[in-house]
Amino acid sequence: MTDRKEPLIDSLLDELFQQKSPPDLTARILAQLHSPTDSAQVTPSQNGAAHPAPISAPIYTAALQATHPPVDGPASEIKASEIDITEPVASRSELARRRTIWARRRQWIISGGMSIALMALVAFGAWVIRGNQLEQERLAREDAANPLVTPAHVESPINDKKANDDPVKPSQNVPSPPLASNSQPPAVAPLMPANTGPVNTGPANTGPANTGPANTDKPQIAANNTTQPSQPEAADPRPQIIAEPIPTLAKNDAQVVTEINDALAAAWKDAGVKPTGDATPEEWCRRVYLRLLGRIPSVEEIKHFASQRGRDRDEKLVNEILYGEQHRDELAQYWGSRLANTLIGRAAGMSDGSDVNRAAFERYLGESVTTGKSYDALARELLTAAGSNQPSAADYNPAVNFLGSLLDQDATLATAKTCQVFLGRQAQCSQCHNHPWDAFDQRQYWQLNAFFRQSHAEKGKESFRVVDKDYAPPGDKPEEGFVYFERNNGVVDVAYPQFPGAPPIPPSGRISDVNRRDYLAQYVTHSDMFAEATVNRMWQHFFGVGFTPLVDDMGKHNPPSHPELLSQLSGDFAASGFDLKRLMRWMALSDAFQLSSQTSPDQVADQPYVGRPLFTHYYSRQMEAEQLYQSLEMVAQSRRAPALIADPAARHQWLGQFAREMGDDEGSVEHALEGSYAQSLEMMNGRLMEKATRLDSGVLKSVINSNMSPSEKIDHLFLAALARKPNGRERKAIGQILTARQDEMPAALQDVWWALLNSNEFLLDH
Amino acid sequence: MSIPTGMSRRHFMKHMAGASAMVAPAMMMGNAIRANAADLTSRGKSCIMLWMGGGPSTMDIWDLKPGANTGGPFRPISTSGDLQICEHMPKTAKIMKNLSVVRSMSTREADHGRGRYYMHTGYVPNPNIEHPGYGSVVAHELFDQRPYLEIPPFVSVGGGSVGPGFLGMSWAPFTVSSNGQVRNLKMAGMSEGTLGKRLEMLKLVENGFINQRRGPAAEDHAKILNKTVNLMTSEQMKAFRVTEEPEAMKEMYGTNGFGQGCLLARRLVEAGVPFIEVDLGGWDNHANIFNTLADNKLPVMDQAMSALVTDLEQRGLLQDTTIVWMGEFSRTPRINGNTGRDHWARSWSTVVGGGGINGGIAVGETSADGTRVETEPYSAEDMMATVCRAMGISLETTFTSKNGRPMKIANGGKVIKELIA
Repeated sequence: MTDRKEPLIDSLLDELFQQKSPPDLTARILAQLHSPTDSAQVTPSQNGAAHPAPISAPIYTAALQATHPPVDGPASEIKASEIDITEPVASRSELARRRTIWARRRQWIISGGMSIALMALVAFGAWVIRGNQLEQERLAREDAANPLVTPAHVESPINDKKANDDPVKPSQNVPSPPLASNSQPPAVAPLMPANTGPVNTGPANTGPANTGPANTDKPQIAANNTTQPSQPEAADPRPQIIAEPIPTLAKNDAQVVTEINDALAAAWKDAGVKPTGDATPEEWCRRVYLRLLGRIPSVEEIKHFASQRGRDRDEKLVNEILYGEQHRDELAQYWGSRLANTLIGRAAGMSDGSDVNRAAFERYLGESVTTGKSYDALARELLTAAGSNQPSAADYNPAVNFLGSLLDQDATLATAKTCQVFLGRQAQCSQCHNHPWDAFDQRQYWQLNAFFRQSHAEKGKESFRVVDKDYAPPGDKPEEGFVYFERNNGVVDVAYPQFPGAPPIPPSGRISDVNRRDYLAQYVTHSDMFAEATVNRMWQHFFGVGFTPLVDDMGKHNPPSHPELLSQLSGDFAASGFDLKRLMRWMALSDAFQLSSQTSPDQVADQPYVGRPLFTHYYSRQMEAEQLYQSLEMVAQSRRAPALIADPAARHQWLGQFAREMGDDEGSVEHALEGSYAQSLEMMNGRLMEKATRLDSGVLKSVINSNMSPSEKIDHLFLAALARKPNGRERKAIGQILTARQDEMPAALQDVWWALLNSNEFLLDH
Repeated sequence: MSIPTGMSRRHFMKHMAGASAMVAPAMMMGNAIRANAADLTSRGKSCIMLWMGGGPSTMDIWDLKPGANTGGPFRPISTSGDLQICEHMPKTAKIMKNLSVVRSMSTREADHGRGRYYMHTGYVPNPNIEHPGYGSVVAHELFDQRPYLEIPPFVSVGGGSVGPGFLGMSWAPFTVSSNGQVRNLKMAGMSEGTLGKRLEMLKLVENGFINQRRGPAAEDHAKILNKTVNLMTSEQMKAFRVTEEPEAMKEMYGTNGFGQGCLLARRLVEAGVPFIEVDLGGWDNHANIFNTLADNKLPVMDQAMSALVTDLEQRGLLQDTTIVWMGEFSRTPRINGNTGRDHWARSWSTVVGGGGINGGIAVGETSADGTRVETEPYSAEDMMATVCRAMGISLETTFTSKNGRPMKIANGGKVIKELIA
């Protein structure tokens, strides 16, 4: 198509209609003029027929197939569906092509001699428009009439009753545990009963077999779907794709941990590096508390751990924290805020007048973790949530706090955040152009975006309500619920809802036909990107860096440092029924998590911050704001409460302010400090530090008032802040200071305590 | 590739990570052009941004439409420049030869939060990337020219600025109140002697840990600690003591928050701070706009703004100090039922002047009722590009965001040519 004619016609039409010409008039004229050549140029990839499949992880796929009835039905049916979809896609692309619009206008000077041509063109244009409309109507009628191209038929293997009633066909490489019932519950995303998670397997259940508690419990839970409708109506707009995952992981936890250990050791061998030696038990204990519970351990907790003998003490501690009743509330508090940081950022809902109900959201997330809700069920709840985030509302649903603030006019924020959080992919640049760094191309971005277009956030006073409504493209019918997007070259194109690598869903924008977010939630949680993104993020949480430099920017452009391990762990995680606590256990109990943070000169090949981590030592990193707050609060408390639960208002106020100064909104782990003055001034002189170092409260008070010897007092303060005793040099130097200031011992101890809490060794998780 | 001295190790690594991917061609091109533009780089420039939070009605201040039904009651008056402004700005009228009005601003963000972000960064909000605002960009670019500076290079007076985004927290705004008070600067009830003792002890633990080879974070912490202690004890901190100015000077600026904030800004320019933002809120006049402007907002602004320009000029600082006046957007030409104006971003004005800027002119025009821009429209990007050019910052500068994407300074905005001296 020649460029030369387009602005010409444009400006002529402009002139004629006084800039009121419909924007795609030119395109339609040109399309009509050039249709033979155009159709020759159309390539499938431009029109959404063929897309590269997402990164595939064979083991994960195998595990998933064993776990769920496959999204696409059995293999033979997949083939059938592929054949089915080619036809509608082609005719849709035909429609799309006709809608192609040249949007960019160039300023043109029209010469007088053009006017005759102009008149002719206008007449021609009017004829073309009418013709085009008729053609579209005809095509639409054809679509409706022809069952082969009826998009609803695309889903036929999925909607097929037979597929639903079929028992799961376990894949051959992953044996499936005996199921309580063979019939698959057909409905989606049931809420797990709160009291049947792995919670009931406390620290007592830690026999030498080391079999994850979930192994035996989970299948029963999944089969226990009594609340679900037996068979949904045919008109149910929800996708009848898959059932609740059945955990099928045949390996026990020790085997998965060995898998991690072997994979890292193999990488060390390949690179010719040796790992650092193990951390001290106290250092390891501090890490476990920080990573699992979000604070440092108290002196009593360190001593209790260190006093234990037996090879299983590590495992006992991890289980105690994850499953023990005494840590339940703290665990919920920490993981609630941690997940909220990832989902909505640190700042959302922290200030007065915000419409995000952060406290309720954190509670909901924390509960989900402690009760052992599977992570894919949680993700589905978040992605499909509707209702109000106001607790007094009849349709109150705290899960809407995720999407509520992201549903802007075109739901681009929701699209980008969903990709980032659940798929570990950056998509926002694809909104406007195809980008070599992006995991998705522009069409895929808008196909994903189309899933959100039925959903809206109705803003109230400091609250919102997420509702779903029929969606229709501007000036079009809801039956063809596509979205417009503009290509970089100015061509306006359309996209229908379709998950990358999956067949398109029925195009209707009517809620009664299709609830798009239900489909999206199913596709997201069954994508191998979902398990990989979750494992990668959790790995970063435990080890300081993920398998990719940025955990939310995975894709071909960022190959993982340990691809096989990532894929194995993702498969194990999926097969475990997306059990977050087991994932945490695997990582916390691995050899790499035992390593000291001391580096050695021969580890130069280990370059964690440029995408080549080898995990030969534990990477020191700054405590998160939440960990810092909780740790300082704990040492400031005089009496250790059964569980350390901070006043949410005070906690949010401090975190909101400090998080702004930390600058990292998403709560990702920072390996290097780049603090602002405000942050370091807050640390040195702020209210929280003042409170933690007061003479009349907390650790300092108990030490001053105790009958310990001066040297024991110093030991206690070191243990409380740094989980170690002073070394020879420190003991000597501080001993001299205390001797010189004997008459002001409390003040001297206070200075020591302040120095410890302001040191790098305290502030870093090491 | 040379490493700018103001660049942190991590920041440099980010650049490297980016370069190792696919930025390489873009960066090389940037460097080539940068070499040509090197002679534009100047020294000792500062910028004062007067931020009008809430969205001031610029057609009642800088672009009056007397007689139009949208025009409101205010009359235009002549100025020392080649343009007219509002009658309630008599003092500013006298110094308008130093300031120019861009009357053809046309933007799309008419929500307070989004507009504030967009006008500060030149980018629309994005959930995955935080862009740096003016202050952080300028501080980042000019800091290495000021090795003597012990106080932060970006000071926000009264708060309300936009953060450093992917540039990192070293370039975060240092927020102080308009009387120059710095939060947490002093340890509660502690003498300098106590601080000394504590730091002595701290050094022992801090260095012991570093000597165990615990990775880069341990060393970074020590550096920040040093910087902060230097700040707490720096002589240059007296620049913040605006209360020590003579009474006559305080009165010239106006004994209110904004006036004293402007006076503080002048003191900070003298101390060599490259970017100061002073906040004046209260422009969200959905109701009773004309009384509010005439009796309250405009007198405060008129006095402080004119005093600032006059004072800088008398001290010989104006030629190196670029002044920017803007809000997140402006207000509807239509006057609503409450004698107010609502949010409007399609046609409005900003003011820029001082160092590197042609003063005393009006750039662009709006229609007779103020609802349309009739000349070339300018955006936040263009404003930012113009200010960068005026301060001698190369527009070929490209940052690398955390996820390795190249980000052009000022989002590739174009310089408003008439304004460049």
